[in-house]
Amino acid sequence: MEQEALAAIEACRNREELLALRVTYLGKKGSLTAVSRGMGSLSPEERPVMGQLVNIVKDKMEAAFATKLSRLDAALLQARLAEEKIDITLPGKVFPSGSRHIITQVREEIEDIFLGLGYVIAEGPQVELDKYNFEAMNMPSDHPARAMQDSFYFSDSVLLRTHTSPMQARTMEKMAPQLPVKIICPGVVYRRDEDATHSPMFHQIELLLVDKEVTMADLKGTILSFVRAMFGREREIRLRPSYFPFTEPSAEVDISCFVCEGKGCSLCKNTGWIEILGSGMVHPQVLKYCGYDPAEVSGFAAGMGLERISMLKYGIKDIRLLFDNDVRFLAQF
Amino acid sequence: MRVSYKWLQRYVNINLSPEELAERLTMAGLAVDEIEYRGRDISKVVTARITDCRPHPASDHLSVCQADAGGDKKYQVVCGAPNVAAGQMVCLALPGATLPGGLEIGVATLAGTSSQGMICSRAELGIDPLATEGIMVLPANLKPGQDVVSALDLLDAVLILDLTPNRSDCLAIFNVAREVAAICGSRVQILDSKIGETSPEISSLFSLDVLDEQACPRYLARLVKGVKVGPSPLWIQNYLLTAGMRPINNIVDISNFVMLETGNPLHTFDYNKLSGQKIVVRRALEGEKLLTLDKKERALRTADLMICDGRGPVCLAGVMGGLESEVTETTTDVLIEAAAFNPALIRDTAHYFGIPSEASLRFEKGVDIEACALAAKRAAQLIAEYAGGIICRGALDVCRQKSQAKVISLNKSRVNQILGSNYSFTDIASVLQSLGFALQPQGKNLLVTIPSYRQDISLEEDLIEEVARLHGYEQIPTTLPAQSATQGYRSYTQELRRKVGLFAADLGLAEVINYSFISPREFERLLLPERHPWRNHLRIINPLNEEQSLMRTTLLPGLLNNAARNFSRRNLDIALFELGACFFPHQGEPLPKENDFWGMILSGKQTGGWYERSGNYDYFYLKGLLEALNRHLKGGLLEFVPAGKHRHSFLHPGRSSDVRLDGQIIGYLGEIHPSVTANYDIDQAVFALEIAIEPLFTGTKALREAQSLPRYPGANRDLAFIAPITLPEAEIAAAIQQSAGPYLCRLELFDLYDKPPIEQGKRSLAYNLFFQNPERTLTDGEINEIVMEIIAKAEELGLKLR
Repeated sequence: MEQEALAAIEACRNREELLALRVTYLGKKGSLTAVSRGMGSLSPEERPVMGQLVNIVKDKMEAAFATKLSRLDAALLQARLAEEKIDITLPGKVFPSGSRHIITQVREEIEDIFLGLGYVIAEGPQVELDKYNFEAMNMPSDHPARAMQDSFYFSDSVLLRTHTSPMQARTMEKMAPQLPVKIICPGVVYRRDEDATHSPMFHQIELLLVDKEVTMADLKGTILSFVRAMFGREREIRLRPSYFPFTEPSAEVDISCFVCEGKGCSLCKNTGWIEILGSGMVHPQVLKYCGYDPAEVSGFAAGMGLERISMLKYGIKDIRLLFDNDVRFLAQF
Repeated sequence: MRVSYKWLQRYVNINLSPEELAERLTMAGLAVDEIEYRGRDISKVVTARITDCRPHPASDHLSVCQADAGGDKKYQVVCGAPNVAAGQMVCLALPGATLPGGLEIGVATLAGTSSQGMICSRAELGIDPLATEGIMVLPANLKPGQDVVSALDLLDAVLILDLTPNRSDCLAIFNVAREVAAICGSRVQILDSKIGETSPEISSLFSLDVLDEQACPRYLARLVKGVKVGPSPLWIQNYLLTAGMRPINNIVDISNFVMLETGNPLHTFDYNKLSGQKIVVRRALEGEKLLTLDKKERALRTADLMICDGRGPVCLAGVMGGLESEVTETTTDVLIEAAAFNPALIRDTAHYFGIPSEASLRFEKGVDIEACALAAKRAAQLIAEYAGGIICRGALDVCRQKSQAKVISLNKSRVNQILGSNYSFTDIASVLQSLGFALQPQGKNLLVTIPSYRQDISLEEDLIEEVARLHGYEQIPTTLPAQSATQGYRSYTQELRRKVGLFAADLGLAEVINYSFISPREFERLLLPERHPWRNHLRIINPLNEEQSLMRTTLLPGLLNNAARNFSRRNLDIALFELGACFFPHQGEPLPKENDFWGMILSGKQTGGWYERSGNYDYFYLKGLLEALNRHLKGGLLEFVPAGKHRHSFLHPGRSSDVRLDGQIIGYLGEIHPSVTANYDIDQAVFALEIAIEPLFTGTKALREAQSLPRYPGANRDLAFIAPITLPEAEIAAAIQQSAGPYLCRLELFDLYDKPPIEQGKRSLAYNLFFQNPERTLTDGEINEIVMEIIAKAEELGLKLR
């Protein structure tokens, strides 16, 4: 019976046959069960011998059933897995991918650098009083430098701000005489200019620190720190004397070219340097106008154009692309 | 400002090459943009006399010339210039010569005649790129056969300075020379003011009357009689050309030369064309006119300052001379004017008439009033020297504003305190002295006398800059501020604005930035009624153009234009957002209200692909975006209600809504009206929303208390109703919520069906409801009871359980 059962188990093709076969041998009315039931008719000497024999056969059968069952299950799983095969090269579900404007991204990158240096963000109106835009910035009405910043007017005293510097005045006026004044002012500014490198509307970030004993050396250190965070650890800066009505001394800041590492290329016009921002020590007239005593406090300020920095960083040739809002351009950033 | 290296060398010893000088000037604040080399690429071009010149036998515009270039060999040259003639001394490029720009000259055959070289023009030699007069004719007294570069002294380097507005003193080459001297550690040669005067005394010949001292703080006149007008000497012509000015005649060239040298513009009159033996400086009278040098009649304004003779205006002061009193070939007596005018006035006149000039440019910036006398003397002397004539004794000089030299006290420790440097007293003094400032120690301070040509210096800080820039900014140490540390942070609003942008981008929208100005025509395109609040706008007085003349009161036109532009480029699927300010007049306030808005525009296909059905963007996609954003911000209760009385003319009447947050209208959302999209040349459905940022942000909660999780299981039930199609879903949902009581935790519409077998005019809405009691497990009986309540309420509304 053992031989016959083991052969039958081996011959089973599926789970159902196997379970039925199990019943045939080991079920209540199974043939092996019948053998063990029939042991009552055996002699007391034969009974233990037969009992032992039945148990051995039963164990063997059980083991054979279990093995066969797990083999059949494994085969079943294999078959299912084979059937469930997919074309894994099909594209994944498409999630929409958006983007923030490059100017927003660059602005935030700069903001984050200065937040790390302890500055807070001050924002103010785009339509501004002449008083804050020019007068407080040491540009009285007949000042020739006003011509540098040709403006859009609403009335004699109201205009679109030509720079973010009026936020210097607004903030200092509000805070005086508290120290330190430590702000960055990002924002939209406007000038009557339009060509491949000038847009009538553009963005600036202003930097202002006013405190006791702030020096031009501190300005250099702060800008170097910013430039390295923004353009790479290896960057150097170069300050060139310049002129802004609201700073004295004033400096243009160049950074060592990040394309050619100073060897000379078209971006830096073979000079190895790229101009990126204007800066200087806050002009004593500005401090005075805004309620601080230039004998007691000093400060530095810097301003940069976000379009210029974006264009430099991403190799954008025409500023108008930034306001064209073509989805193929927007999707790149 | 174009500055000739060689011209500088007239006044100062330069121990640097032009390139080194350019670098040093740049680093001292006089930025050199470019160096232009002159005469550098010229070889084998010699002086030559044309001994014979005949018309070309086979051409009506060429000439065949024989040229003597000094040696035995005569050169036959074919020349196309109309001004070529026998006897002229010219510049001949011999075969094998090179010209600027790399042009090589060989032996050529022109119209069948061999030409051995080329007779050059000023333009070809790079002397005057704009010259058009034909070949350059040299003074006849030159010897033939000389190399022209040395014979004409052409070799030079022109430094092109980009001056900052404060350094208008460097519109004078001599003042640039002072800077160069300070940089090189040498001294400038003082300008020669020797002058040979003879009788008569100028004051015996005519008079000067300045009627408006405010407008003309100084007017000085000198007279040179018996001059002969002709070409100026080559060296003056060369210098003028390096500065970008064209030579005209000896008188005009000399006055221009002195202007470039000293920064003081001069005007020269033909003295004999002035009537009444007087000069009067006054404002123009009503109705006066002047025929200016450019042969245009100018109707003068009473604000314009005029130089007049006995009859009337002869010169638009500081801007342009009159044609009648112009120095011409027949002029014999020259009146030289050296003056200072009110800068703002000259700026106004020059801009009004649109005739800026080298002279007006300098007057606009303010000239050195002290230098007028020197400039007039220099011009008179040079005219006498190069045009002949005698200088009448003395000058007529009205100088009402005797300026006092500025003295500024400079404190050494202040210098180091501002710069963070460690300069010694000597370091500081040496720089200031090298610039020509007179110094006098006074205790711990230096009293610094500012020369009249440095009008830009008026404060101690200005002197500190002088010290810093001449020592070089690179000498200033690099430190970080030593003050105590502060905490940087974004304000709540700033943080939220950032969050909105990031979230919108994460949801698949691209951010745009549009100009804040819009066209007045947008209001018509949007079909706005006459008194729509958006029409109440700010107008720019001086816009670049009409299309950019109004400050936007809505983001919508910008977004619609973005959509239209993208569609025209076949970018048909767009999902854009903008965060930006709109501007509204503020009654009684000097400044308008600036409010930030969040705008979105969707059109075309949703992102999808093979994986899922990718339909077109629609109202519900947009609504879902706003709802998701509000959830992200943990905002208040958002509702979408029919626009009602507050109708939006630019939206589809059946597919639009007002957006309410906690009961307050904060914007609109919907499909753009097809008539409006047509106005933007858009022929696909467009969906847009615009909401005010501020109320959206005030509705958010900065901090919320955490809720503990329910400990008892909840239960789901599905219910489907048949409802009239006209009944808004929101009312059904509200009814369910209301009748379900507190244990209905979630209500979700999971299916909507209005096709057969559903009766026409009806639709089926299937909801999933999830019940939960935080206190204990709800029994089936309890839930059934609630469901019965819901069904009863629904039936009241006219719904049928499906």
